[in-house]
Formats: sequence, structure tokens, C-alpha cells
Amino acid sequence: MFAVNNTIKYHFSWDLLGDLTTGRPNLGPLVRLEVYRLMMFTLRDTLEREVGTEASERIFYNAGNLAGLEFFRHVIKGAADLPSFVNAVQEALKTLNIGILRVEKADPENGAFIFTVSEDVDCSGLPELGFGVCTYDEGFIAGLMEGFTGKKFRVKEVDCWCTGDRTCRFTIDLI
Amino acid sequence: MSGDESAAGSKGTIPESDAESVLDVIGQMLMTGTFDSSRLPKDPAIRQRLDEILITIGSVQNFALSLSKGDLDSRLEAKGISAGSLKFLRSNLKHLTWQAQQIATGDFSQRVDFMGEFSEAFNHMVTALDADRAKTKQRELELSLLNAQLLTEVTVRRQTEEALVQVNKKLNLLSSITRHDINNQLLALKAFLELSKEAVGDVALMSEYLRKEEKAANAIERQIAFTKEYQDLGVKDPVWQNVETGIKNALTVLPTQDIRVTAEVNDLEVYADPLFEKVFYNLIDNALRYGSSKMTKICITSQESEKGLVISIEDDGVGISADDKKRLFERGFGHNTGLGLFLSREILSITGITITETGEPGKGARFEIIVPKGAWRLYNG
Repeated sequence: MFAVNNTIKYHFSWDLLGDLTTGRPNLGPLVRLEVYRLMMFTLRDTLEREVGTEASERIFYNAGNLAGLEFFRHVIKGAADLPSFVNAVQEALKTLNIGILRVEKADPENGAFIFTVSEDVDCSGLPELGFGVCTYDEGFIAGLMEGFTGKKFRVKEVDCWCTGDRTCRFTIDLI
Repeated sequence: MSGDESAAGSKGTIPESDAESVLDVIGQMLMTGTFDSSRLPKDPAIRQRLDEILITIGSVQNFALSLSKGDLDSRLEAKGISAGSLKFLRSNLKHLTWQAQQIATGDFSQRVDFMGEFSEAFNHMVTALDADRAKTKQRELELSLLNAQLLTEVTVRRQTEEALVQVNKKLNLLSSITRHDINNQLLALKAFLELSKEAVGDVALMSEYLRKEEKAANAIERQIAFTKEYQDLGVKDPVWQNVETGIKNALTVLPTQDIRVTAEVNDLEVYADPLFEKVFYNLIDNALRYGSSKMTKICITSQESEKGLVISIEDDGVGISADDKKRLFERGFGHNTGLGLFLSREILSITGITITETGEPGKGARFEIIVPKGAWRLYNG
């Protein structure tokens, strides 16, 4: 028997990103990308072993979704229209060296979009695996779209560096 | 055994007899987009793997051909770096298409990054387009202002032309009437002179004729004096005139004595003949002459109405009888010259302004000057 506790230990807060100016006066805010990927892929490995492929993919998608929403609230901070939203996201992703966002298709009336992200932080330069690996990015883009429109979107990576493409392509559809 | 041979070996070794034909077929496919099927290897496993490679090469070639024709929507199922690079190119082209569409809708914030010289050229073009658009907008604004000024000038010119036509008509009419009146008086004068010749010796009759001759001469004198009054009518173009100033000027030459005159027409300007202030002179003069000792005040006010702006000149004298109202603005009607109200109406009508008397007999006279829209304004400069 155990009591159900609704509170979680690591409930996300933007404050958890910390005060980097005070905390890292000498090393600064930047970390090598390999370190990020080391954490990302060891975490994926462990999660997949612990909870299985499907559940681990879902966890990564949902984590990305939460990140996308928080990123929209704290970095993008709203946009008047689609071009402004795209401009703001492009600029933020470029400034933070996350990737180069481009729009292949935008059909706001039908809630259908295709975005690409080149030099993506998760996968660019990885070996060809025959499948896409940017599950976290899928959720991240879904979170950004939800932040902007207030609606849920399903995001699917259809091409990835790991499938031999040179850019990651995401279809984005209103649920 | 090399590493490559090991890899091939794990999927089945190509028999020596088929190796040359495999190379030939792949070479033909890469160079021409087709191949000689008689050259296909006989080994089924090798043939299947070769088919997959040929299909990939074919689909990549077709996709590249579609791209070269500007078709950005064809599909490419093949994976790998060749297909991926082409899809990357397609992705960039699609993004540029989207950006061009955004620019077409007026979003000049679009910029291209990380595409070498193209980025620089594209961004320069968008910046130049934005600058041109700003210049065009500024020019449109200037033209719009110029157009508004021209419209105003055209309106003023039209008003002036219309006023000129009115003036010409009125001058002709006044000249004709005055000439006719003077002729009548001259005719009467000459008749009495003839009668006077025959009445020499009859002192009483002669005195009567002399009195009538003097009356006719005085009438002629008044008519000639009146021509001086209206000779200036319409000589100058109508102008915007401050009403309060006109009233003040009139009051400086009128004996108001203990009559209180108030005017609440601050900042009001009226587009009228330069003789406009004479209208106030005539109306106030009229009140002072005929308001009787009962009169204590003359009030001048203005109020906007559906008909236009109504300027009221109101006194608390004896007012004007119903019979007199009917002929009030006729030439010659009245106890003095009989020309003041007539001339006032003529002055006002040059720019479409009308005047009526709406007072109540016994309670005071009330003249209403109605200025049409466009002929009055509030000056706040």
C-alpha cells in the first residue's frame, strides 16, 4: 500500500534553467553539443530499456511539447500573425544555435503546415540509421504551435538526417 | 579479404560472370537514365538487389528532373544522401517560394540566411523593395494632400465664379431698376416744371409744385446715392470674414446710446461679399431707428441647424407688423431710404446666404441670416 502523491519532484519551472550569469561566471552559458547529445541518447537508451520503445518515444514527444510551450511563453512571448510567429521562431532558433527553421508550406485555414529544420541540434551529422530520431523536436514544434494558436497539433517527422536527408522535415496538422 | 568484400560477402558474393554486367547496367542507368535489360545478371538475389539500386537511381533522377522544371510537389520515397540532398534543395526552394508569397502580401521582414551569395542578393532585393514601397507610400500621401488642396482651390474658385455670375445679374438688375426709378422721378420733375411755368402768379399753386419738384429731386439724389452704395457690390471676390469684427466695425459708427448690444459669435467666419459687414450696420441701424423707446437690447447669436448656420439679430423693441413683414426686403420700402434691407439681402445672396424676419410683432424684431454649409467655419488659428 502507498499513498498517491499528486506532487512531483521535478515539476517544470523556467527558474530551473537557473541564473547562469551568477552560476557560471567563468564558463558561461554554452556547452558543447556533444554533451547535449550524450545526455539525450543515453537517456533514450535507458528509457527504452526501462519502459519500451513506444513509451519512451511518447515521453520524449511530451517532454518536447512541454519545452515548446514554455519556450513560446518565455522566449517568443506571443506573435500577432503567422509571419511574425515564423520570424520570431526563426530568429530565436538561430540565435540559440538550435537549428535553421524554414517553411515549406503554410495553410492556416486548414491547419496544415510543413516546416524544416536544418543543422538540427538533435540529429545533424548523425550516422544514417534508416529512421528519424527527432521525436523531441516533434513535440517541441507541437508545443510552439499550441502556444501560438491555442490549439493542439500532431507533428510528424517525415525526413531526417538519419534517413539520409540533409534537413529534418515535419508535417504539422491540426488535431 | 578486404572490408568491402566482407560486406558484400555477408549479402552474397556477385559471381564473376555477373560482376561486369552489374557495373555496365549501373553505369548505363547513371549516364542515360535507362539500361539494356539483356545485360541484367542471372543470379536472382543479385538481380533483386540491383533492381532496388536501379529504382533508387531512377526515382532520384526523375525527382531532379521535376525540380529542374520547377515542380516542387513531386514525391521522392527514396532515402539516402543523394535523395536527401535533392529534398534539401527542394525544401529551400519551397521556403523561398513561401517567403516570396509573404513579400507579395507586404511582409518585407523576410530574410534569407545561410544560402551564400543568394542570401545577400535576396536580402538586398527585399530591403530595396521595402525602401521603394516606403517612397511610393510617401509619394501617395503627398499626392493625396496635393489633391485635397486642389479640391479646395477648385471649390473656392467655383464659389467665386458662381458669386461673380450672381453679382453681374444683380448689378444689371439694380442698374436697370435705378435707371427706371430716376427716369420716373425726372419725368415727374419735368412735368411739375411745365406746370410751374403755367402757374406763375399763383403763389399757392407754385409753392405746391415747388414742393413736389423738390421731393422728386430729393428722390433722384437718394437714387444716385444708392448707386454709390451698390457700385462696390461684387467688385472684389468674396472672402472669409470674421463676424465679430464686422459687428464691432458697424457699432463704431452707430449711435447705440444706452441700448445694450451683445454678440456671441466667437471665432465664426463667413464666406461673403466684402460688403458683408454693411449687413450688420443696416440691421442694427434698422433696430435703432424703429425699435422705439421700448427697446433695451440687441442680441446677436449663432446656432448650427439642418438648414445651415443661423445668425440671429434680435431686439426687444416693438417688432415688425405682419403687413410690413411681407414687403420688408423690397426696394424702396420703409420710412428712411427703403434701400438698407434690400441691399443687405442682395449682398448676402451673392454667396447663397438668405435672410428672413421671424420676430413677433409687439415683442421685437428678429432677423435670421442662414449661411449654407461650406460658407461658414470656425476659425481657431
